[in-house]
Amino acid sequence: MALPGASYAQLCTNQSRVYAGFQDSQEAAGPLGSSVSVTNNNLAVDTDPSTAATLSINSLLSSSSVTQYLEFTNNGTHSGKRVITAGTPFVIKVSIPAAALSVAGTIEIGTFTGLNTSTKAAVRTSLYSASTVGLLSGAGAIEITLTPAQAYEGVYVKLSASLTIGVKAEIYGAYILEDNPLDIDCDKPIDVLTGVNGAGLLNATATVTNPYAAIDADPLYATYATLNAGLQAANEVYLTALFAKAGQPLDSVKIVYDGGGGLNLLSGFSIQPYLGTATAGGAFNNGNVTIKPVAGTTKFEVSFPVAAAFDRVKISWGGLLAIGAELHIYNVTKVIPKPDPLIDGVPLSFKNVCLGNATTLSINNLQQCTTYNWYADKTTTTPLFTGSTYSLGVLGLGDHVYYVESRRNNCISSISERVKVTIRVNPLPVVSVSNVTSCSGSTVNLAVNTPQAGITYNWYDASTNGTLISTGSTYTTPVLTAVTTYYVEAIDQVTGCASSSRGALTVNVKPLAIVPASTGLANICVGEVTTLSNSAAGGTWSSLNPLVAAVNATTGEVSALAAGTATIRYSIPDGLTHCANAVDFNLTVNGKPGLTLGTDPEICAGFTVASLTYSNPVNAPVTYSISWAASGFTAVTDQPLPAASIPLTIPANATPGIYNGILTIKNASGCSSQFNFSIKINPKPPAPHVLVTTNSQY
Amino acid sequence: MNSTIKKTVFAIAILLTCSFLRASAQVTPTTTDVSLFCKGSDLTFPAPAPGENWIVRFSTTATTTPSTVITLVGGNKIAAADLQNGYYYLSSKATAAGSCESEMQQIPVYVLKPLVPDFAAANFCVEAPLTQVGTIINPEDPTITTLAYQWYTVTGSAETAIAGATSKDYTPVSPTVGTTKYRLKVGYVIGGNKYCPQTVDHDVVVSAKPTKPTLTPAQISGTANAVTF
Repeated sequence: MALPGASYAQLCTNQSRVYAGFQDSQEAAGPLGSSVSVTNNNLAVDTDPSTAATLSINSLLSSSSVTQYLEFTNNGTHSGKRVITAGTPFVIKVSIPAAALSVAGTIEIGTFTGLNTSTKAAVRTSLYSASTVGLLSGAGAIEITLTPAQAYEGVYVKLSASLTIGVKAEIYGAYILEDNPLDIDCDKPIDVLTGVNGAGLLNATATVTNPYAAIDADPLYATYATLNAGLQAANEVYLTALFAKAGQPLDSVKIVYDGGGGLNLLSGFSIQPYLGTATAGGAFNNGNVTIKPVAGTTKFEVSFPVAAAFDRVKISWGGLLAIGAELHIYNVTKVIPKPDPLIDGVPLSFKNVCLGNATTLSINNLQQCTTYNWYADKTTTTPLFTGSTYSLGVLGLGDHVYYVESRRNNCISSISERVKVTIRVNPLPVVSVSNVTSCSGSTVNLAVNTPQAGITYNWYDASTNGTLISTGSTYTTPVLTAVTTYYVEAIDQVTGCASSSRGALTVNVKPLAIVPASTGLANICVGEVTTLSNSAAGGTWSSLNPLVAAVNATTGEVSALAAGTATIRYSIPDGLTHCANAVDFNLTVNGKPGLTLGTDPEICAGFTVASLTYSNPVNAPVTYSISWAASGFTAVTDQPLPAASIPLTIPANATPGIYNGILTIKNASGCSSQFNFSIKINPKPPAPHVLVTTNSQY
Repeated sequence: MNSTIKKTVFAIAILLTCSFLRASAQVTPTTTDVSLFCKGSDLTFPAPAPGENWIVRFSTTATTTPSTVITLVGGNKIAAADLQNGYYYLSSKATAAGSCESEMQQIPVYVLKPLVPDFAAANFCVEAPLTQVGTIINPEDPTITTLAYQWYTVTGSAETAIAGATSKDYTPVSPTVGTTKYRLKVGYVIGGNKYCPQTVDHDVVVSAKPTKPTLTPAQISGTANAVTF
């Protein structure tokens, strides 16, 4: 049986049941004691889906039938009948009483026109016929939806039987769906279908009692429908709650139930949403839903969102573990979900925003046919704004609280609880910087004026966008040679708010004073004095190694004090248009050579060679010179210095006496030292006069 | 004027050359104050004064700066083997530290090489004495060409100069039959003095005149026989 649900789906406009409001019947009992009857006739044309008229047949020796006409009217009278256009589907709800399940009877359903309430004749069009309606749901009621191809004025149900006693059918009513401009209680179930699935339906022991207690909206959950799976494990008892209006995807189902004090939730429990006859999403069971107890009771509540639109939910109960057990359904409702707010597109309930920034509220779980109202508080009835996107614009400092609710269009009670959204508008941090002046070729340490704790300072090379250079309240620039501007942005570490603009800090770079190279002797000897010069005026001299060389600050006269190297700096001080600058002159102070002379030489007259011994040479003397005070002695100039002994050339005719000389030694650096010495010439004894004897003569 | 200058320069040059040659000349047997030594003789100085030592230097030519120091044997002797022609310079120096060496005494020394005389003993008959011809090897030739000769007869160890036998050759006069030992002594003649004699001895046999032979005619053959005509 195909039950089209398309007529329910995705319609924001309400559609309500319009029941057939006038009934008539035609009884055709067979002869020989057969009887037919229609009892509680009007219960088939009231608007209560739980009450029904009963068609009964006791046919002994022949065939009998009984027909009930359910005519659509404008005012409940035959004269006010309506003509329903062809193609308009109708639904008729019927059931077979449990006692009649095993009795063979045939139900024929069709439309009619031209009912003659006197003759009970009408033009019928049969659309459906079945002899085993009970196999559809056991003792439960079913809805049969049929779409006539012709215009009709009502629906008839004909129950017929032959040679059978106790044939019965219950007719709850027939209805069509028509647009309803009024608001309705969309989430409330308006009907219940129950029955049994599985084998042996005709003698099933499973039952559903008080099914309408499951949808009576008793806030105290005092009444309940009872699902009893009976003693046949193969059967499954069910209860289907039909809602007044199909929901939207993401609407939830909420069921309150218990097991009569002994409910076993581990098996046999299934909940399947439907849209008409089509399943809406997958089934839910105790394995994939969260079940929570209802506080203060022994009841449980299961609630879950359904991904697809649905207009009914079927609760099934059965299986081995359900044998002998009961499932009490206290309430079944459809719940519109709470809106999931977005703050500036992000799912948040609280957000820090920065002053000056516009804020927009919107809905993450947006649903069709749903209106979103934004309120100032939880109870105000007048919304600040209605719509799924609420542009708040630029808010002032402080917290701004909004509540949003979702309300299903054209529904009375399909309203969610209000969800709180808080927007905290934070002040923008302020950044203060001051320009500085620096000298070309130097790095500059920059700092934010009065940096605040909790504020991050970012340094950029442009007033907007640009490259992030550094982070921190201070920044050391690279070596700068030109005027450079840096831009500092302050960001609150808690709120993330940035300063409204970047503070510009300009480094005014002054050129360095031009100082040409100093000139002068780069190598001097210890004890010597030289004067350095520089063509730049106004500078001062200083020695970076005063123990090696001292310099007169004004004249540049350098005095070599000790061997080593000294840097002599000529400095030009800061000026209005230039920065201080200096130039260094590398001066090498060479040590004077030295040695330790031995004892003064002493020779005998006539000797022309003597030597001047020495030891402990220092500072690498390489040459020597000798000068004499006395005439006749030959001076020696810049001769290679021999090791240990310096030769002296003495005039052969030097008379005995003491002669003074000066020894000058030099090293490779050109430094020299002088040493006085003397040589003593001792007189020479006269030659001996010996007589040499020979024996050569004879 | 130019001629005068040229002559003067030439004269100076000659003078300098001669002086040089003189100064640098080697010692000869006739060098002034030369001390002549026979080969094989030591040169012995007097013992130095107490506290002093001799210092001897040598140069083959006259110099003021002799460089070769001679080691003295016993402090005052130059061994014969080391003695050679040249100038020895003798100076003294006290053993005290710092003492100066005295001026040097120049001692020219000439060592005469030994002559080698000889003669071949020429035996002879007493009635016809033969000349004993002397032969002399003179190693100093041509420096010294004048030699002194003297012939001796030697009997045992006694030699007896033969008067007038002062030439290189000698012909015995009135020899005595028998064997006579003759000695030839040869020396250098320098400055009129004779030096470094060398001798050579040889026995000379003087034979007597044989007696007159006695022959019979029979012992004489070849005599002319009488012929008949």
